[in-house]
Amino acid sequence: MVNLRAFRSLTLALATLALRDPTSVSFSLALAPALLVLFGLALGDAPVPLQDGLAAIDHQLPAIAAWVFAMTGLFTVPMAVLTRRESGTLRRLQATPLRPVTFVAADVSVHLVQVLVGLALLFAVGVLAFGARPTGAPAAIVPAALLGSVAFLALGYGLASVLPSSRSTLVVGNLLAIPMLFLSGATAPLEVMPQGVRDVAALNPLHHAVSLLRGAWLGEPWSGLLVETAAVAGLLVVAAAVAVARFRWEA
Amino acid sequence: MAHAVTVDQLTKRFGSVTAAAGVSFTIESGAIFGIVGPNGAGKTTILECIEGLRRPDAGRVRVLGLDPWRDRFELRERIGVQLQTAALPERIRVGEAVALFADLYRRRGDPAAALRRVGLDDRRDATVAHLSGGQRQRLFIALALVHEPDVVFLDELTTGLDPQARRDAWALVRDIRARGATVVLTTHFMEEAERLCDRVAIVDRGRVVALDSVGRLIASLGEERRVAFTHLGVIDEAAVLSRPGVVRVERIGDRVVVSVRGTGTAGRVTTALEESGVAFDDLRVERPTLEDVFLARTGMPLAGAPLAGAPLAYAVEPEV
Repeated sequence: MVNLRAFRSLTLALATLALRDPTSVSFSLALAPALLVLFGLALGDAPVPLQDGLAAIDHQLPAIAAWVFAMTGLFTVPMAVLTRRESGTLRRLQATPLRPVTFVAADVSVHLVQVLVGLALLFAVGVLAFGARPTGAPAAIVPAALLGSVAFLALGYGLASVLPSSRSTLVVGNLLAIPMLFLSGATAPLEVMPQGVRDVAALNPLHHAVSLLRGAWLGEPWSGLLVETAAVAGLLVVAAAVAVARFRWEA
Repeated sequence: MAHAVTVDQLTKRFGSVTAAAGVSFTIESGAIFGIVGPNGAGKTTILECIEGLRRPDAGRVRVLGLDPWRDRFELRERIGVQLQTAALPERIRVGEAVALFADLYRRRGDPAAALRRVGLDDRRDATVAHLSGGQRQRLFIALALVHEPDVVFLDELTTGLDPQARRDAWALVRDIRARGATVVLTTHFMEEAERLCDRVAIVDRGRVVALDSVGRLIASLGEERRVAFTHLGVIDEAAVLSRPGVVRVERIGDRVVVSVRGTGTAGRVTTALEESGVAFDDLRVERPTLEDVFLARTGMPLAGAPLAGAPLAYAVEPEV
């Protein structure tokens, strides 16, 4: 029943519109490398205290990658969807045979490409400018980055379907982002925190996304990352289910 | 199929507000049907239930034999919709928007032809942000027509348009019907409904208060006409009143209004006036309009319309 011509044409139109918005494109592409430069300058090439022989950049780079897709899912996607809903552009599409799933698939594709290009830039700058050296194979790093990106984009559509207005996205996004970042293991090492904090962190999908990406980057086998993979995949399933069940064309 | 649209006892509530209360009517294929009434009467709610954009609380609606809510995706392939409140991204170009919407339908449309129909082919590369209000409205019509739909819905098409743009829009509506589509429109301009519609449903507070052709609705008022003229002298009102068919004689300043009934009465009054040799000026024969029908059926004038009885509520008849 899904009209492939509709999907193709809508994806192309949404991509064209994204490219015509220079501020949003440059932000989504430059965010990741900019974060890396800040952290790279702050950390230098000092080894991470808790892990012998590991360069700080190889510890931090996967975490920054996870932040990038988390920020896209928590802020960029809900803001974009809600702005379109409030302006009435989604309502006009509702009066056509376009199905919600086709619209979301097209919109996800455009956001995913932006996120993946940003991550590719991030990894390139990390390797070329900061001497990062992945131990893991691209065949592990790419799927881990892809799964994390798709899961957090789905979170963005889930949020967009339950949030009342574009103004509420900043509040809710920050309410979620601050504890998620703090308890992700990306900013402060969870290993030095009390057990209670670590128990809460175990419920944080960003924590698992950081661990998954970091494990893949450092060459851990998949068998050692099953919990992380399941947690991120779980976020994807729950968020996508909410997004589809609660999808609304109009404010 | 004889009927493109069947609405039977449609009811829709929003909280404690009943926007449609047992609305029933049918629309013949190939007709221009108007849902008319003041703002807030429930016109858009009724239209959106027919379009499958809202789910009725009760009642039965069929469009092209389909249930607009249950079969909404199938129905939307075959209808074209211009919404009262909708938007396009500001940065999309006119040509891109029409091409995109053409691709959303299974029936292959011709985007270039749709733009030509609404006279926007020379604005193909302009972004939506750079269009005037009238051009935007024409673009929305093009989006509603690009897939050659069987039924076209136009919600308050001409609200906010200047008189020329309004006339252009009317020509477009007649063109849509001429190509065989059924047109369902809402308007709060009674003149628009009179000029365009084969049949109208006059809606007030969620109910249909009148349903018929414009001509028959006006005729239902008793074929009353008014002969109005400016006269500075003295007029024998009793003599005028004694003529057959004359109902009433009123003087408003130097304007005399003679209300008459019956075929040919207006002409006889005019002839008698000319033969009487009295000086008069600015003679008009006026007939009642849909606004008078609304007044007669609801007991209230349309919001913003002149009070009934005032000559402005009457349209000038071109010839007697």
